[in-house]
Amino acid sequence: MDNGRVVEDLLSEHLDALYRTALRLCAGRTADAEDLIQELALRVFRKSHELREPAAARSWLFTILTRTHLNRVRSARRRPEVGAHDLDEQAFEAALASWQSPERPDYAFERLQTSERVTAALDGLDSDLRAVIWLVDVEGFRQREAAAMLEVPEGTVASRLFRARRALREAMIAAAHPMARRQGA
Amino acid sequence: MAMTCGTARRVLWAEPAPRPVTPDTRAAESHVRGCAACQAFFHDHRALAAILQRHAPREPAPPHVRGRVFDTLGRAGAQTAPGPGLARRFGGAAAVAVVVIGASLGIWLVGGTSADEQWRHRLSAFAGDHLEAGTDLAIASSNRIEIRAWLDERLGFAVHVPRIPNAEVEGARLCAFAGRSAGVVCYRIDGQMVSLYLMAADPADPSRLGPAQLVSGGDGVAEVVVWEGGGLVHALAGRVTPARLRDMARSCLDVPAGRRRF
Repeated sequence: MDNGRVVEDLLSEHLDALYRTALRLCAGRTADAEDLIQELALRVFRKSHELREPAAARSWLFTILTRTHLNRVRSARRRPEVGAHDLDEQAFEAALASWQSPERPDYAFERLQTSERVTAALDGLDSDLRAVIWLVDVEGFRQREAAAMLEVPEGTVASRLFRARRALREAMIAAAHPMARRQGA
Repeated sequence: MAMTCGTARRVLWAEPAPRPVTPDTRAAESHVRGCAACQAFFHDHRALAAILQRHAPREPAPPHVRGRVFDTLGRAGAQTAPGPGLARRFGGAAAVAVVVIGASLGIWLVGGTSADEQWRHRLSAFAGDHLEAGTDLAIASSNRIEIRAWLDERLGFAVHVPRIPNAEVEGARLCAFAGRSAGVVCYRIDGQMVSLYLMAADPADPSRLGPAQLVSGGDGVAEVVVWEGGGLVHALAGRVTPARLRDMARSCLDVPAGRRRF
């Protein structure tokens, strides 16, 4: 097997998805995202022997990407933009229970969402929340896959996903209805 | 398990359907079927996920990013050592199983290659180990004497842990290059980790450096500088500029001339 050709083909196929994920991991900072992608390429080349099944390639690439990003953040001693605390099971249940749905369906809220608003809302999230909601809701990984990529327990991914969606909804409501009464848990 | 709204939502939150059927999931689903608030909760979250799917930014990788990726792969391929039975892929040297650089930390002496190729392999091995190790430390300490004693005890040869201007010592670890032990002192400078590798020089190595020689190179991500002194091979590796790394090397050992760059 020609490892170089295999790696080139893999990265070529998934580069767009990897790049946009790198952008979100780096909160929209294109220079950081480009550096991250370059380092990803090198690590993929060096680790190509670890990929046993082609069907697992996408998950494997995203795992290397997220862990490379986490290593870079730790190396630079940069903390996540806001170090929000994860919820234990009891606190998570309480938060779930306190969610407030709108009194009537808010079609205007959904209609007024644009790519720019959603991007701004995403990039305004805490980095650990943004990573989870991106991997699960946008890239379609299961919560257990995201947990493995981020090296955190599944329960942590579950609570971060909830908090991310809650924060995202608040940000998008604020952008769509600046004078609206704040809703949600 | 008492099936409250919070519990039902937590049980069913974990993974979307289809999900394993357990007594808890059955009870949770039964609760949701009879609870308008829980139904609204799950509807809200499905709607949010749908908004994200519809409007999430999906920027394609720009051409220059693709260029950087394939340049990086090209350089990485050119730095790998030749191996038996593998096809030529990158110019200059046959591609080799990447396990050489990944798991076993590289080939130190490769029979039959030129001295320059030897040095490319070594520089790549140091860079790769530095990147893989990240912030891993076997001993965390800012005390150079303590670190020196720790390394002396484990390496079987005496080392010196130099003071590097504007750098803080963070600790040390061990590694191996083709079965040969090396100590690694970890410094932090300008927010970046820099690794100082210390290993015994091999008297039989035909590519040994002279007393006033530095060898440097990079893989596009980490830079490496190597020199010899006191019977040891020294290497600095880190994400700093080549010039900065050479200055750091000179502060460890006075090396005024004889520089080679790969």
